[in-house]
Amino acid sequence: MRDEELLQRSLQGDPDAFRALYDRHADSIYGYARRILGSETAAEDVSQEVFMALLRGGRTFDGSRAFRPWLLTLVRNKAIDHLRARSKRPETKLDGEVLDALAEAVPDSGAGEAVERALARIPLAYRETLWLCDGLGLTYEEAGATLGCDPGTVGSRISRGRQMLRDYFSRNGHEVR
Amino acid sequence: MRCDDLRKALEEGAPLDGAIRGHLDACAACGEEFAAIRALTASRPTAPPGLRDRVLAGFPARRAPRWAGLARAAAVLLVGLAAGFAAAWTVKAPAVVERDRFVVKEVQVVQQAPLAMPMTDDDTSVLAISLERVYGKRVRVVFKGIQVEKIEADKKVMEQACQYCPVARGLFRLAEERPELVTFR
Repeated sequence: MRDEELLQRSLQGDPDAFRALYDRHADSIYGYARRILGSETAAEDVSQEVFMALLRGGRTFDGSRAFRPWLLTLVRNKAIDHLRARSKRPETKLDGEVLDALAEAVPDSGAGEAVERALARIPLAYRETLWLCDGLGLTYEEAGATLGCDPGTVGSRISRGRQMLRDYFSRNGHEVR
Repeated sequence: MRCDDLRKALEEGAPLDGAIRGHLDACAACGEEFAAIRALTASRPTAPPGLRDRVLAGFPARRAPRWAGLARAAAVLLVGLAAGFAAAWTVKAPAVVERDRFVVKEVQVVQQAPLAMPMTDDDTSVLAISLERVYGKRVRVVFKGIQVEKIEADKKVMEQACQYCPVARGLFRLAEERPELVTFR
């Protein structure tokens, strides 16, 4: 069953549809939130907020759009709201530097720890683009729809982000492994 | 794919397709050189098990629209009455006479029965009363005796309500079966 149908059934009160929607997207939602926030606890909170927001505002979904980018945009907005609240300076514009400073925490993810450390040290715009495409497997069109940019920008961020990731690994890889 | 091709593709930002992934897995030198990208593709976080329980526990707690309870009761009554008609009037039709007592009393007898018949005049009367009670001024019903002569309804409101409310869906069903009775504005 398509995501759109599962959402519609969830809105009509079908718990099985909601469960299926959760099982299909929970890892992506949680993973994306954790990439932005750098904290497991915060990512859990944001993931829960996203699913509740689906139930409250799912009717605003425009069926002509692709579901997954729409959903990931929701995750992104919720995560940034979370960062704003955490910054205690809600009037501050969250540019890349502020976001990076806030997302410095490195989650303990076992085998992926080295790459987590490397990712945490490259700017957010590159980090989340890498995560969406190389990590999550989104197409450049889907990633562009999620991030609000065109696929060409996604491609150039991927290129630059890979280079930064590679540079960081070549300098620090032995230390973090 | 050769090592030079792989390097060029990655530097140019090409998507990580099967050929690139395959080469990274098969070639030790490239796998080492692009270890970060390999690790990135392999280190996808998974949602912790406790999150599932937390999220799913929030589902039934979702607040229903304030008229949903009444709509549900009315819907059960409609189903019950229609099924009652199918079972040779095992349910009486007191609703038209005493609207204030138009509640769930008889429904328990018949609510498991199927609803598969065209709507009769009595069904229509029950539906009209339900619509009045649930939607107030958004629906105007004109009776002639106990028969419904005309129903006027706000189409936008009723279309939205269809997502929750079987009574609203009943109105659209009536509009299909007896369009002369229903006017949307």
